[in-house]
Amino acid sequence: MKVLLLGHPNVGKSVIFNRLTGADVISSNYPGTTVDYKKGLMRHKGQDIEVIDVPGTFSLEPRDKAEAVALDMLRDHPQARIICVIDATKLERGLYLALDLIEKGYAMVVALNMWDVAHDKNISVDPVKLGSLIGVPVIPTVAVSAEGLSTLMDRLLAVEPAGIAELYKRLRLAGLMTGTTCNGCSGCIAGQTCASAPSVLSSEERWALVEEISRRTLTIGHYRHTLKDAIGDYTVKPLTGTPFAIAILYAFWSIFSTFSGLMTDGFLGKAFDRYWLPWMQGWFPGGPGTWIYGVMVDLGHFKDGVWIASETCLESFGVLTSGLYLELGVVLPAVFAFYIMLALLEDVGYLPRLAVLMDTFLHKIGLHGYAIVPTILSLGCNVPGVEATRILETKKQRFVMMTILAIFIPCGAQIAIMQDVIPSYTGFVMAYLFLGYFVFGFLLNRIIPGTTPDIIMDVPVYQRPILRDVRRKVAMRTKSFLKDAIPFVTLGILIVNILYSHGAIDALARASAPIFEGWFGVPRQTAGPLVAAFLRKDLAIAQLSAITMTKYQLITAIVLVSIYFPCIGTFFMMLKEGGKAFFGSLAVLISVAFIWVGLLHLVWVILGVQ
Amino acid sequence: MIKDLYELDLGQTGVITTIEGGRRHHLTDLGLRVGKCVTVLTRQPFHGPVVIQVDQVTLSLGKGLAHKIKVEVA
Repeated sequence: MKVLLLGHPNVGKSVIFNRLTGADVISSNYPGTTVDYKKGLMRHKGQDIEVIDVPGTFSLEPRDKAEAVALDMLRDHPQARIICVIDATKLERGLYLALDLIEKGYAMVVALNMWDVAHDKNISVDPVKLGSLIGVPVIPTVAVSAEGLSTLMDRLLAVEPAGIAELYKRLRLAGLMTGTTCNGCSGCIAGQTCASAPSVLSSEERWALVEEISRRTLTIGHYRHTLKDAIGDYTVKPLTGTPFAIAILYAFWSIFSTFSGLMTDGFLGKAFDRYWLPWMQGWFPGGPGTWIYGVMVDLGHFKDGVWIASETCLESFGVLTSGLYLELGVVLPAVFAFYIMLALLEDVGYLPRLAVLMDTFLHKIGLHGYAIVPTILSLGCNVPGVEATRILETKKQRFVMMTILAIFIPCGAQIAIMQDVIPSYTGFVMAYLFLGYFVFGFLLNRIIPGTTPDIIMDVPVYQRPILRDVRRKVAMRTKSFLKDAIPFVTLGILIVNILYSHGAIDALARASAPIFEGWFGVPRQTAGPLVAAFLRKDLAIAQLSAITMTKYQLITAIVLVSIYFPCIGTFFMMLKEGGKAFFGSLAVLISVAFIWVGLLHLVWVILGVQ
Repeated sequence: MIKDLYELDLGQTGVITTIEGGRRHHLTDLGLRVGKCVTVLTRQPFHGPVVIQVDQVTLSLGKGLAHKIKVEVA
């Protein structure tokens, strides 16, 4: 049996999915977390059930690529049973979608989710009465604590498709059809299936029904505003919300850099340099000077014809020393800290408020406030950031967003390495990249045809994050980082070492010297790290730090590595999401790299430092 | 008196009389429709969006859209 979880964005479908199947999909407190479908298996009462979590949709007419995914799944699985998830505090609009699904003849149950929140707000819905009116089981649920989910599944196993004729009969019997299109055929009155039911209701008729039904089943009691509501208001009001947003982002940055700095400089760095590296140098077969030793442990360097061992992992260039140190010693603590804070911000429900505050600025670059979500996700890793562009409505928005994300937003791994190799200039590099994000966003907005619609976005109420979900989400993202980072950094070191030993990089450096030295003002040896940057940008930045150059050249080279080309993961995600538009992005990207890095070189020349 | 939703004072409530423009259906799906009481909670400076409350729904709407919604104010 197949079951589809359908409903508005941010009603808790992914949480229900996780609880039912024991799977881990990312859930957060903002609309548009899920942009692709996810399948999972469960067993209930001896039945094997395949559950499919889909992106939220407001209606059966898609408005963006994420909604289209949901409706494609619905179309592709006409026999699937549906769990229509409704936010119990927002009954009317949820009911509208539910009625639409019932009319179309799907076998479904309604989960009245966030039942606890409704209770706190003194909102009560009569599930039995509602169920008998619309002819499908209605079960109150609290997804986060799995309350009601077992009953929900019991009822789902037993449910039969109803369809519009059955709906009409029930509504007619309840005296609810007055003033709508059913002309009162004898069938309805006799308690049989309505013979004169139309095949589909108009939007006005359906809303009229929704209002009638909710009038009979919904009671809203007196509600006193709580501290949570007050904080909700103050963090979105410009006068109080703006300083708050700056404080939050500043806190985010300082916790991130303090934590990762402490772990790397104070602990892991020393452990790797003092114990791991000498230990590896001591026993690894082959010994200094052999190819395998050079690639795996220590490339070393020659001084006056004598081979000298490296003293730090960063200089050693070995897969097992440099590679592991970079990913486990430097990047892992940083992305871990980043993902903890991201999870908290997401689950509290702060991001939509930040979106409201940023909307005006993002409009200037052809986007709207919601673009803050892909942007912040990209600061962790560009891949989910690019995927999240699906929630933007128009092609133009998606193109602009994808392009400037891939060019200008450094990922967490990259930022962590920058903190390690150029701690005093990381801020400058980041500022120069963010400036580029706005400058080229502004230009692309002027050049690219198409429109940017106004923002329409739900602002969710704040929720207390649930520790277990935060932990799972952080673990999942960290795991996915490790899964990509370790193989790619290994591959990157291997490829670069092979290319070096065959003289390919020297040849490339010689051939491209005029571009590197003339236009960008960086040493021609930068060619090597640029090759590695396609696999891992963090590795590339670490390799840059081993090349002799001035600090200004190093800053330029790091900016170049950041923007010149997306890493392999982002590359394929852009290809998948952008289709043909991807090649446009690539063209923009290459020209921007020349302009923006060349400009930085020009700044250094004007300042007289180069 | 009929006003643009965008022109309501902060905290002021009105009843929606008309919604113009092509995205009317989307707004309706979100719970914003003719006959509903709507309160403006905040308005961002520099032509920014408004944040409004309809029933239990808190929505952020761009300025252009807010101009297309007319409300009756007592």
